[in-house]
Amino acid sequence: MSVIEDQIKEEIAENKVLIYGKGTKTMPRCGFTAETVTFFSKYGYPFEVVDVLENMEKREVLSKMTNWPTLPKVFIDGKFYGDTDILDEMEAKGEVKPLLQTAFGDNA
Amino acid sequence: MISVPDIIALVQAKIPDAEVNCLDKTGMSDHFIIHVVSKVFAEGSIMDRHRMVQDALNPAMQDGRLHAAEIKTEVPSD
Repeated sequence: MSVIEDQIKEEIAENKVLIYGKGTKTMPRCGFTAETVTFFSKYGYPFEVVDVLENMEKREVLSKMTNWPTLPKVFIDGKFYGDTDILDEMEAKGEVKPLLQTAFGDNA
Repeated sequence: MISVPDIIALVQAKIPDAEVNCLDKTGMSDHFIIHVVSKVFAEGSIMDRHRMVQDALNPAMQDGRLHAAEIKTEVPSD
């Protein structure tokens, strides 16, 4: 378990915006993952998708780490933000843009 | 398969004052949009709200009655 946990922590540290989902950025294989890719494409900041569709063990570790049962799982600047259900509501309250600006040190 | 009354009961078990509206997205009774309005959402972040609803729905997610839930939360606008 800890090997996978370390791998996840590394991936989260290396990517300011990271989506664990089903499929890839160009070939999402689930509606929710596709929605999340579209969500972040709007902002123009770089982001990555890690495909865990076939990796049940990693999915279990992720669920335990975040205490969140479903995919996709979004991390921004190392912090867990669930999925577009949450991000849409945060966006409606204007909470997403500042978060991304801070993450990318882009407070110009 | 899960019925709307069962979803409402699950949510209200954890959030007694919740007003719950469900929309069956696929007609197969396993993929719902679940809209929850409650005063308790006033404190805490959006993440806290969603964790509460996810937690309430967990039994139905665990035994497969509920496959996917799109959760929307709101504070009553009084």
